[in-house]
Amino acid sequence: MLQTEKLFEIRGLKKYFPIRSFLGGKRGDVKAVNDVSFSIYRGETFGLVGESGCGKSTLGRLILRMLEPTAGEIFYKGKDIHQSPPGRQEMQIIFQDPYSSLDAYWNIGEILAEPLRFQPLSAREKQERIEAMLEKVGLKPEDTQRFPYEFSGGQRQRIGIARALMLKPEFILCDEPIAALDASIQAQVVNMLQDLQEEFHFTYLFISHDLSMMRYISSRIGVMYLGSLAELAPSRELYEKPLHPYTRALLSARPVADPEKARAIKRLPLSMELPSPLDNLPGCPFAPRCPFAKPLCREEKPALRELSPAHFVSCLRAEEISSENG
Amino acid sequence: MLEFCSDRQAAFAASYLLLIFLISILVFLFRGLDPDKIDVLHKLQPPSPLHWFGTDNMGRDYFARVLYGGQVSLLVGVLAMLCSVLIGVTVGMLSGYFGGLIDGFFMRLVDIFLSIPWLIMVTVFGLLFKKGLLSIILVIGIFSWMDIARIVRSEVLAVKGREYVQYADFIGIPPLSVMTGHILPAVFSTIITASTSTIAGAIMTESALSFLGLGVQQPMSSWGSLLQQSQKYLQNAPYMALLPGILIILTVYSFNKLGDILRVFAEPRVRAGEEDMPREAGGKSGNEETAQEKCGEGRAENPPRKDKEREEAEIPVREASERKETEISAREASEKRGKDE
Repeated sequence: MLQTEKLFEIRGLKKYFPIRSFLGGKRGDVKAVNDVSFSIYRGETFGLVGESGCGKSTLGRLILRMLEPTAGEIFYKGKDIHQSPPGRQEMQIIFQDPYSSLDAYWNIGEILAEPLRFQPLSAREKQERIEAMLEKVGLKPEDTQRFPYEFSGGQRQRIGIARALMLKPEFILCDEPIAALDASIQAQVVNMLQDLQEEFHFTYLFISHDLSMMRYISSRIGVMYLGSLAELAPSRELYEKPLHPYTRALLSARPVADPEKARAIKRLPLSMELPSPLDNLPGCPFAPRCPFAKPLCREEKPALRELSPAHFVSCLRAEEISSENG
Repeated sequence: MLEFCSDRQAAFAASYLLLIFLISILVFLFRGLDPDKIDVLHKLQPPSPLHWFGTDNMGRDYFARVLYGGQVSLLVGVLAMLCSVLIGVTVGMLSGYFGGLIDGFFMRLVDIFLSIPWLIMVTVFGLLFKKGLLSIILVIGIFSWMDIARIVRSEVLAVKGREYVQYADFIGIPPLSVMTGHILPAVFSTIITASTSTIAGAIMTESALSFLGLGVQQPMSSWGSLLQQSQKYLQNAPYMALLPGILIILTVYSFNKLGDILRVFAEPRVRAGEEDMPREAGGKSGNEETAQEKCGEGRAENPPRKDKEREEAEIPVREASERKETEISAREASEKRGKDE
């Protein structure tokens, strides 16, 4: 499904959150997103994985302009989004928590009408679109009169999805949309997202920490670590030939259903806790935890480089490690 | 509704308030009752069939004076509450929603207002303004919005973090619509609770002001001014102090109790759904706490579901007092049994 037309191009994106002392003086920065560059192609599902606090959601929100970046540029269809911002109806978001993403005091009709607020549609047209959308996500048109608390978590998430689809956007940020759901409902929601993508040709940026699900959904996957991209590859390639030690560690820690296969996996335990994004490390952000780190790794910050076609990695020793460990 | 009826304290509070309000509104229908009719020959008479609450030092019918006084006290209470809720909610919403400099400015303003003893402020302003009902209402309103502003601000901060508010901001809904459409409904139950206890507080403040001679002026009466005039005649006519005093206590208690009930009814949809709910609305004045303790006795017999949840959350703090309460209610029960036999 890989297409060549770039929907988003992101260059050197940074987002620092200042930490202020008691009197308001600046004590330092949390580097939530630190110099990230990549592209998202039209019609693909770009997966973004990483542990909590690595800046996945911040990156997603920067792309949607819910946050202003500290530095860097984002191009949407070739245009800088700060100079010519795309219409709000072109981008939408699906949230993680289906409980806090719907206003408990609004009924479903009102919730779904909110994105249509600025559309020149009559009340009747709006009603028709809402009802059609409800059917599309597997709910009943009568449900417009009901309130969020009358629905289960999975149904609420589908309402959240319906809200994002109301404007037929080009691009949808899925901010861990399945993390708060049961496994059976996860599959249901993911399948629905894929069916909708086939029908309307959306582009997804799918944020998750569920590696097994990611492989199933994404066409390409970016692995984030402490605000920067550690590795970026087509999903098949990433799972079969991980190059970055962090990706290897993540994949080896992934639960596998088949015990035979699970035993065969060589675990790659990581020693330390995730260091604070406050620490200003000169070298590779992963070096303190990396089992393959050499002194050089702590001094020089690796750039993201294309090791094999479409497979990017930011590790100084990626070639050596993969030749040593297969 | 079932819960409501099962809580006898709540039923009492509600019916008492209904009665007091009806009487206050309809008092003009009783033609015979003139609070200003002087009859010096029959002054300081104890309660009798002719004068139900007796007469005062000028022979005026005390029943009429208490009723008309209640009208003034309630009017001051409700209007001062509206005034302070209006200021408090506006300040709290702006402060919580916009944050930054606006927040800093308003919150420092609240600190300043709170750091000066309110009685002194009210006294000074009471002397500056033209005396009259309106200035009392405004003065009380202007000096009692700070608690509401703080409570509303903290609630708004919590609601602002929810994703549906982020979404509304994201799709470009104007801030004013977000505030009225999304945030106000979510903080509404808190506002209701805070405003009922503000009425109670305003009635107390008005009584205190009138007691100090800064409140309503003669011949108009309020419960507080009746209390003040009764001082000189405590020995001859103690009922003159007792009757308005009891009415003040009952009214204040009922308003506080009403806040507890209304909170449950203000968010019926959320009650069944959101888990992060039963939240404690802050802003407890001293009165409210005593009122809650009193409620505890009622609950021990017939606890409504919501209250039980809240009690569980409060257990560490309240253990000691609860034990006392159960003792009390046990004693009450045994007394009652004794009486029945």
